[in-house]
This record gives sequence, structure tokens and C-alpha cells, in this order.
Amino acid sequence: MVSVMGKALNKLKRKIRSKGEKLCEKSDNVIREGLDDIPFEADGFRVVPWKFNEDAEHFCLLGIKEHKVRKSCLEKPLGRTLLVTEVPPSFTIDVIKHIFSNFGDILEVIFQAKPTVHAATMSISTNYPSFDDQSLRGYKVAYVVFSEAEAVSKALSHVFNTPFLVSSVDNFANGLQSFVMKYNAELVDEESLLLEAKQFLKGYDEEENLRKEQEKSMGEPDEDGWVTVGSRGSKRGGFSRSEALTMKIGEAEKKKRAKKELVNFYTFQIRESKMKNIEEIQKRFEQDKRRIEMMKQSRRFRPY
Amino acid sequence: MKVPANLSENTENLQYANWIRLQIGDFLKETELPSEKQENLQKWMKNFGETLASIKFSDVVENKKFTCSVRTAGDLELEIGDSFCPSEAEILLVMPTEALRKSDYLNCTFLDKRRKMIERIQKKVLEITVGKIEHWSDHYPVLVVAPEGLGCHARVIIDVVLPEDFVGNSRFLPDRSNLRLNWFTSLCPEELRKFIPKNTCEEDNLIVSPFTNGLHARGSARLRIHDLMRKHLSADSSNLRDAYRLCCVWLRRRRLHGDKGMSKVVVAALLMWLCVKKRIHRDMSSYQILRNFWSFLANNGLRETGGISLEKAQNSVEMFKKHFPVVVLDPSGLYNVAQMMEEHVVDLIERGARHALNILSSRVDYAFQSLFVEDTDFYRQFDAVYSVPEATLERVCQWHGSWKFLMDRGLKTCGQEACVRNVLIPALGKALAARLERSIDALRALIHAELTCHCRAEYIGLLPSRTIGKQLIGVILARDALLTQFEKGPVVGTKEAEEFRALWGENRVQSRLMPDGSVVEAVVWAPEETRVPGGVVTRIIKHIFNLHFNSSTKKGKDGRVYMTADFDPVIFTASKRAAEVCSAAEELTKEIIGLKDAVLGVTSVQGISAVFGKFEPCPPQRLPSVNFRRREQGEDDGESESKKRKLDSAVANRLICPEYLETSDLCLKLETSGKWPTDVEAIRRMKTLLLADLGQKLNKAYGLKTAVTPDSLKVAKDGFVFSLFLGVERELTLMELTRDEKGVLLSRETQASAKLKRDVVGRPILMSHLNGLIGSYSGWSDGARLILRWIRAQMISREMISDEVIGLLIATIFACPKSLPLPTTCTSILAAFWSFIAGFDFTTLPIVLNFEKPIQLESIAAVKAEFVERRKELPPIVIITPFDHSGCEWTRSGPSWPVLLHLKKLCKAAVDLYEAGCCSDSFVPNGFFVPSLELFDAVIKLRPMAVVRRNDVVHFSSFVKEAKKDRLFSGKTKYPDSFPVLNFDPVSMYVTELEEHLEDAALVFHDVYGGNIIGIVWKNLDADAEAKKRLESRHLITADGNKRGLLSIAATLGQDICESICERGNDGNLVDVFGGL
Repeated sequence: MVSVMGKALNKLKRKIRSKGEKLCEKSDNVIREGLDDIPFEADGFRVVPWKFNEDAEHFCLLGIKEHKVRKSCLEKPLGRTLLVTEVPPSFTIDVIKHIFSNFGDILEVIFQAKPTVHAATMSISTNYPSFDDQSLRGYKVAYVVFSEAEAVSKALSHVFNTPFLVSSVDNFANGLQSFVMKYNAELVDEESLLLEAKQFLKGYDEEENLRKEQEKSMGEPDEDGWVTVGSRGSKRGGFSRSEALTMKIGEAEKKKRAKKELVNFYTFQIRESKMKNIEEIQKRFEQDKRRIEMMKQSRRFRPY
Repeated sequence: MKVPANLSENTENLQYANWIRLQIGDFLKETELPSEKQENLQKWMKNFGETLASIKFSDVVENKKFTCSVRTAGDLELEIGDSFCPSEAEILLVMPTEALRKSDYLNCTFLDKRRKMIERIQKKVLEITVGKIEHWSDHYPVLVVAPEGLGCHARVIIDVVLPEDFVGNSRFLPDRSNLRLNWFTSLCPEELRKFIPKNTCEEDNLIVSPFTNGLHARGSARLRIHDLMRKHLSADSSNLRDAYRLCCVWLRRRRLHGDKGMSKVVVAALLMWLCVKKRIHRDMSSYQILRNFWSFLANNGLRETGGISLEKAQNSVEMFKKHFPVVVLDPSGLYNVAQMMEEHVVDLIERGARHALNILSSRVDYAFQSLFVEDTDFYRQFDAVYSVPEATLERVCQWHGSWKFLMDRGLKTCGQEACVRNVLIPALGKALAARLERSIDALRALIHAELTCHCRAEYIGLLPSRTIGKQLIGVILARDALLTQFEKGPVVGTKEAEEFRALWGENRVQSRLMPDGSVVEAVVWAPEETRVPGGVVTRIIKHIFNLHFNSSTKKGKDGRVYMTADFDPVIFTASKRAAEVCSAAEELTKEIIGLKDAVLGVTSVQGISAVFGKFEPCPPQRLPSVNFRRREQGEDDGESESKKRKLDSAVANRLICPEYLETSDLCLKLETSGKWPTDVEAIRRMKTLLLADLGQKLNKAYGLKTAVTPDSLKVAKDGFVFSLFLGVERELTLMELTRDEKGVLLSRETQASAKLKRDVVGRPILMSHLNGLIGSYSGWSDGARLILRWIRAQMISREMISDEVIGLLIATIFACPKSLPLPTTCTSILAAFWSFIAGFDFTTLPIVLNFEKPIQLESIAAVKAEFVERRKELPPIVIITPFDHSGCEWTRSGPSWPVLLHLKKLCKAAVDLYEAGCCSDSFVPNGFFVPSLELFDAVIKLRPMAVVRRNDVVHFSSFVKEAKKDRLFSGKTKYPDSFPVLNFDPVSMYVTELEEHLEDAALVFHDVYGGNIIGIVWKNLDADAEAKKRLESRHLITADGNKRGLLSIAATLGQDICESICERGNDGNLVDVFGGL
């Protein structure tokens, strides 16, 4: 079984390698001004050079490859999703869209701290960013979901002759201007905010009512007179399995046992508890010795 | 490790004593003088003694050549010398009888002969090694020699003494006179004659000289004591010897050793006496002996025993008590071994002993380190240090009544010191009696600066390079010393009242009717009078100096009266501003809680900003230019509110930023309700609606201006803007809930839930506890502000060390005092903080911080037990508190090890600078708040216009002037009825962005309170291969390690904020790489 799996993997690797070599052969013929020392591919990623503006002396690199995992998720469909790595903190969704929009229609761009199989929680409103979005700091990865599968291969086969200029993106600014924009973006219109909140809660209430009704209907006999017995809701006999509850039960059991148990009653118990205490003290003593050794090492004073 | 539940207090005590004993045993073994070095030293002593014996004195007595017999005292001390306590030995050269005439015993001819002999010996000694003459009094020099090339420190005192029985023993008794006035009037130089009144008569010629008599008696007495020491501290009393060594080390660490402190001989004599009195026993362990010794000292043993006599010479003790504060008589009863010990030294020793017992009984882990390994910084022992102006000293000397006392002690050697001690300090003691820590006697903490220099120099094996002729008075204040502005005197018309008036001056004293109906004399200090650096205490000292000694105290002219609290202006306005914010918050709280018809009533309002913990150095400013008028019904603004608060793009284009205005955060707790949604997103919306409702009600009921955001409500109150947050426990629970694969509900902390928990649960508790410290420690608030400001001035950002962690570290100084004393003034608190951080071993010890609610022993034991094993997983600083038993809640996010080590280095440097600065005229306190650019590999200079916190800068330098000149926009919007721009600091935003971009490559330093530069330190990428690979793959650094790409990004991100970027060149200088940005 293992050998069959190994063969399959090797075959797959060879296929990918030959594909990459072909791409490199193809791209070797292209002249890349100022990018001589940069390879087309590094660590399995195609590189995309970029710089902030025309005047910037230095350019940086993004890495791209097709999103391929065993288990796909709805948000990141296989075949149509491109993984972009080394995305700088200041890049917005607009910038990523701008870079890859030439290869096809982009349905969505998802930012994440690290590449994962599942998608991070998406923000459903600009006013209430998701907790994942809030904790996003530093360099990140982006998943670009195209409408067509071709776009991914187009992007991977494209040769970036010159660094992409981030300043060419509309509404992108650097420095003071960007901070002003960021500050202004955080200010919200009170009326629309309250309206949004009310609408959301209205929808939530409707969903909750529906759920309650469904639950209620479960307890009633159906047309044939059968009653469906479920485990949801402690009021209806069952209880939800939670860690807290398990711990609570465990604690209660422990207390019960402790009440019944006679501690330090028999001679052997007294002897054992004394032994245990001595062992603890010895253990502490050994730990103290180790700590003193550490303290001696860390202090600067050395006599003689 | 699982700790048994029945771990009792006694077991803990036993284990703690074992922990200390273990360290003591290890320490004694480590510091013992190796036998090889011991032999070398003894060989050297033998050769040296032979050299001295061979010296022929020819020019001392006319036409007579003679040599002296040499006797050595102190070889026992040689055996117990170590690198902490240099070996001490004494060589006595006994003058032969042929060199003396019967008529010149103990007179000025003899003293002259003796002086010449010492000088002759010095010449000879200098051929072999280093030697220096020390004057124990004007007429009594001795030679102090430091052997070289032996690989250990040693100190040999060479004294020339009379042969035994040459002078009758009764001549050495303290009541006898062995000094004559005419020796001084004829021999002493002009500069010393000013001490002697001109109208002295013949009757004054005889001077009672207890101190000089003691010096003469010392020679033969020293040998007797030495024999006694040999007998008691012999090899079979090893525990007693170990205790003796530990005592000597403890004194040395406190700089209370040596001739002017408690000498080794005094320590040995006291131990012997305690042994005789059966208060210690030679079978006791060294630790137990030491504790008993401290207990004896702490209970005023030195003074209250009425004098100690080593053998049966108790009769003379009373005679000696009249002249010396501490009496420890030698077996002959003629020599007081402790005759050089001053009252103030006794005070400090007693204080030190009390502290040692406290620290041991509180079972802190670092007790041993603090008592025996770390030096106690000298000036840090005092809350304030005052320098006596020279003019004052002269005046004191001229009318000083006890000039005979001065002559005995030595006009030249300690004339000024004695004047200060006998005249100035009693006067100041009376004036400050109510404010001193203990009693009037506590103000004997006179420091002679030379002593400090000497101690320091001796430790590193050098002789003092300079002598500072300054008289400094150290003051240890009571906790509320700085608060009282009323000096209550005696009842009017009594004799005491007259004395009170004489002390304070007629103009200053008022008669006041007290609540009990009595009329008393009183001195009242107006608040504006005490608004000087150092507060009311400084004002009192200045007043007494001016009144009684007619001295001008202008700075720079007559010396500095006030030395160690010049930091006050840095935090002077902060306390006032913080009080205003807190009072506005209190009122707002009342209004919120008093609201009726709310959907859910507010049960509590807790402050979560540092300003509510009373340690924010730059509290929010009152908004100067915004009119928070109540909007009339039906009034139309024309534009929506949110648009008004937006930053004007035109303003941004002109590169001018509004002044920084900050909000203060409050956390609201609501009544419990079962109707909260069971979805986190729904709760977030519900909170917004509740806040909006609260805002409307506040506007309607009190006319307060409010604005709602998704997670907070901005409320303007009394010119300050507050951000109100709702703390909902259900939200926290829901955020932590997750289901595993089997569908079991698990409670797991996430990044977001941890943050929320800190904000709504942890921070309010922490702030209220820190705020509570004010009640117990008057100096907490100002001191903490100063420390926080100092750390930020060193460009250590909040991301590196948060305000909360700093608050906890500062609280540690108060709640668990590591070294004495408990600081009172803000300067001493700052110095205590430096000392604490520089000396604490964070690698091996957690900090245990007990607030009012003590932590259970079991919890502490459990954390400590795991500490060493789990050290690598734990953050660099672990602070265990009653509400955080893991000790990591606040320190998990920082500081990192590099930052902590950086802070430790800064603190060490600051302590050294402070200790050196107190002796120096060129002491510039604000220099502590200027960061050194040498630390940084690259420096980004900022445009003055972009720095919005320019009012918080410590130095109002040209930088601020430039900024003010260019400032066209000052937070005043064109919409007078709206909120101004709040919490907008582009530099901080830039720093955050920079940190994110350079996360793998560099540490970014910036002073959040208006710093005009950003410092960058490159990380060592060779040690972190993964980070290097990441940087290379992003093309941020090249393979050859060139980091220009990173600086290029920094320049682009800082567009319109940066002025220039400099990089450190190969020559070590900063070179512009991106200029004129």
C-alpha cells in the first residue's frame, strides 16, 4: 500500500517539476530589465516583483502558486484559487485585485495570517470586522478566487518583466495620506450603523424564532402519531455535551469519593502520607539546588 | 508538581530556611580564599614585616638611629578574607624607649615624631607597593598599604605606637585631656583657625580628648582583642566564623563597613559578647547566628544595652557612654573598639537589620541575593539628598560652640562634618521632626561624599582619585511627609512655645485655634510656597538655613541645596491633569448610574486607561477649542456628524497634523439579563444599540455630546472625551466556545477572547488595585508616572512593554520592597526601580506581588515548583498576583528577552549615572530622559509637523519651537459643534506599520510621548535562519546582508512623516541614506 502511494506521489512530483521546467524554459527567453538576479521561481512559488512607486529604489517579491489541498472548502474552490504569499501588511484587497485582475474575473480575495485548508471567518460588514481580520498583523497570505480555472494557469505562466507599481492602484496611499484615510475610514455614519445593527438583529430574531418553532415541532406527534425524541435542550430530557459539564460531574464525583474515603486513618495511610511529604520536601530541595545553580550562572560576580 | 494540600506554614518556613542555608553554604564555599593565595598573602606579610623592622629612623630624634619592633595583629582576618571583604591586617611598629624622652609622652613633640616616622615608612613602602597616609585625626596619621600582584584584595594598616607601660593607663581614660589649645593656635594653618573663637582664654587650654585618647590606647588594646578573637573564632567554631564572614559581607554590601562604619573588629567583638551572654551559641548554624545578630541590632541592641564590655571592665562603660554613641570596650577597659562609629551609621545599621529580618520573614526568593550579593546603592538609601551650601558651613563653623569637640575629632579631617552634625542637623531635626520616618534622631544620616568614593575605589582595588569637599545630608522621610503642610506646635504661652518661635522665626509662626479648643503655635505652608522641586521638605530646609545661618541658597552661587528631586517638573502638570480627568469620570459615572428608563441599568463603571491607575505621565488634555453646546431641538447642521469628524484632506495635503487629543476608556457593566443573544455577532450589534440608547439618554438628560461607534460610545464631559465600552460576560463565554470533532463543546481561549478578557475583566481589576496603592503609599502616583515617562523616553514602546506590565513592576517595589528603604519621593522611587530591574534575576525567579488580598501559599509553591522546569515556555517576566496565578496574563505579549535585557542595561547605566551624579556639580537630571543614539543601527528623523504629541516632550527645545511655528491647525475643526479629531497620532501609526514590515529584521524604538526620532536595531539574523530566509524570499535583504531595501520601505511608508533616514556607517557614524524626504 505504502509503495503504491509512494509511486503515485513521485509521479505527481515529476509531473509538477517538468511543468515548472517548461515554464522556466519558456520564460528564459524573455528579457527582464533590472531583475537579472531574481529567479522566476523560488521554493515552488512563482515570484511577482513589486514596488511602491516609480521612485522607489528597491523592489520586493510576492510568491504565487495554485491552491492545492486534499480537502477543499467552499470559500477556496480547488482549481480556481491562487495562493499569494509574502503579502505586505499595507497591501489592501484592491491592490491584490489590481495585480491579478488581468488574468480573469476575481470573485473574492481572502486574507489570512497563514495558509490553511479552511477559510478564516469572513467579515460580513465593514463596521464589524471579524476577529480574524482584527488580529491580522504583519506579512500575510492572500487567496485569490477567480471565476474561471484558466485564470490561475494564466497568472502562473505570466512573466512579470517589470515590478508592479502599487501606486498605480486607485485609493492607495502611503505615509501620512494613508493614515488619514485609515482614520477617516474608521468613522462611521451613526444612522447607517444603527440601521445595520437593527436589521441584523431582526434577521437573528427571525432565525431564532424559526429554530425554536422547529424544536417545538419536534416534540409534537407527527401525522402518524410518532414523536421524534432529540438530544437538544436540557429541558427535554437530553443535555448538550460540553467540557465544562464533564468537568463539573468529575469534580462532584471526586468530592463524593473524598467524603467517603478515610484519610490518615489507618497506620499505613499515616505512614504513606508522611513518606509523601518527605518526598515532596526532597523534591523541592533538589529543585532549589537546580535553581541556585541557575542563579550562579546568571550572576555576573565571579570570585577569583 | 502537585503540591500537597496540607502544606503548612511551618513546612514552608522550614523549606525557606533550607533554601537560604543552601545558598549560604554555596556562597561561603565559593568565596573562600584559596589556600594558595592565602599562603602568598601570609608570605608577603612576613616579608613586609621584615622590611618594616629593618627601617632605620635617623632623622626623627637628633643623633639617634633606631629601629622599631614589629607586631602583627589580624592574621586571623587574613584567613577569612575574600573578594567581598578584602583581608585586613594591622602592623604595629612599637617605638623603642631610646627614641622617647620621659617628658614628651603624648605631647606634641611625640606626635611630631610619630608623624615623621609614618612619612619615613611611606617612602620606604612606596618602593615596594602602593601606600597612602590616612588621618584618623589632625595629629594622628596612619599608613594604609594595598599589596599588589597577589590576586586578591588586602588592606594593611601601619600604626606607630608607644611601648607598653610607658604611659600610665589612666591617661587613656576618656575624661582625661591629652590635647592643648596652644598646639592648634601655634601649629595649625590659617584655614583651620577660623574654627577657634578669638576670645579663648588660658583656661580653655586643656581639652578633654576621648577620641584622641582612644587612638593612643588602641595599639596595645588591638593586640589583646586579637588574642580574644583567636580564642573565640577558632577553627572549631566554624559556624561562628561563617556568621562573622556573612556579617562582614552584609555590611560591606551596604557600605557600612570599614573605619567609619562598623569595622570587622566591632563585628567580631559583638559576636563574642553575644556568645558570652548566651544569646548565640557556637553550635547554632551560621544562618541562625546571623538572624540573632540582626535581631540584636534591630532591637536597638547597640544603644540600649548601655555599652558592651568584653571582659570585666563594666565600670568604665558609663564613662565612655558620655562621649560615644556605641561603646564596645576591650578587655582592659581603656579602648572603645567602636569609637569611630557615628550615630547616623548606627541608624543605618539598625535600619538595615530590620529590613533583613523583614525580607526573610516575608520569604521572598531573592532575599539572599539582595542581602549578600548585590550592592545597595549609596544615595538610593535616602529619599532626598541635600547639599549644604559653603556659605552656610562657614557660618555654622564660626559660631559653633563645641569647638573643643572638633579639635579632638580633627578640625582638618572632620571639622565641617562635625559642624553639620552637631549644629545643622539638630536644628533641621527639630523642624522636620514630624516628617521623618522614625524620630528626630533619624536625621543623622549625614553622608560624607568622600566616604562613598573611598568605598567604591577600594572595591575595585584603586585608591580614591578625587575628594569632594561637599557636605550632603540624606533624609529618610515618613510616608506622608510630603503631604502635610501644617506644623503643629505647643500651646501658646508655654516655654516650648518660645522655643518653637525661636526655631521657625517670629514672622513664620501663627497662633491657631484647634478643634479641641486649645490655642497652639503653628506654621502653615501655603500650597504655592511648596510648589518647588522636592516640595515642602525642601522649603523647610531652605527656611531653616536662611533663618539661622543666614545663607543665600541661590542655585549656582552657594552650591545646590536641593539635589535629588529635580525631576519633579517632568510630572508636575500630570498629577493635576489626571485629577481633572478622574473627577470628570466620577461625575460621568454618577450620571450614567443615575439614568432612568434605561433598557438595562448600568451597575458599575470602571476605568481601564492608565490614567485611572494614576500612573499615566501624560494624561489626556482638556479640549481647548471645542464648544460642546447642547444642540437645540430642530437645529439642522446641514451635514452628518460622522463627516464632521473626518480629517480634512486639505489639511493632510498641507502636511500639518492636528494636536493630539486622547480619549479615556471606561468599561461599563450592565444588569444581568437572560435575553442576550446566543451569537457573538448579534451581541456585538446589541451592544451598539445599547450604547446608542445610552448616548441619547445622556444627551437628553444632561446635554452631553455623544457619538456612537460599532464598539464604543464617545462622550464629552467637562472638556474631556471618554470612550465607553460594554463588558458582557456572555460574549466572552461564547467566544471561547468551540466544538471538537465528536461534537463536544469545549472552552478554549482564542486570541480575540483573551484580548476581550483582558479589556473587560483583567484591566479594570488591575487599574483599581494600582489605584488603591495611593492610599497606602503617598509617593506611588508621582513615582510611577516618572518611571513610565523614563521608560518611554528611552524609546521603549507600548508594544515592547505595556503600561500594565510597567505598573505591576512598579507596584513590586512597594508591595515587595527588595532593598531598603521603602521609597517616598518620586526620585527615590525612580532610583529604586532602576536598582530593582538592574539587579533582579528574571531567569530564575518569578515576581510574587501581593496586593491587599494575599496569595495562597499553595499557589505560589505550585508556580515556583514548575518555574525552573517550564522556564523556556514562560515569558521573560512572570508576575504572580492574587488575580493571576499563572503570572503570564500581562507579560505574555511582552517584553521579549532582547527588550528586557536592553531595559536592564539602561537601568544599570542610570543607577551608575545617578550615584555619580549626586556628587557632581554638573548633574543634569533631565539628561536621564534623553536617549542615546549610539544604541541604534539606523535612525529615522521625523518632521516636526507630524509629531502631534509635542506638548508631552520632556525638553522644550528648538524642535518644539519649530513645530509651533509651522503649526496652522490645532485640533479646532471648522465644525464647532462636533468632536475634534481624536486619538490620531500618525507617528504611532507609522511605527506600528514599520514594526509589521520589519518584524523579522529589526526592533523599532520610539518615544510615544512626542519623540522626534525612531531608532532601529537590526536583529541578529545569523541566529535566526528562518527569519533570514523569509527576508531573502521577500527580497528585503540581499544574500550579502544588505538591508538598504528595508530602509527604502521605511522611507516610502513614512512619506510626509520622515525627514531623513540615517544608517550607521562602517566608521560608526550615522550617515544620511535617504535625505530630504
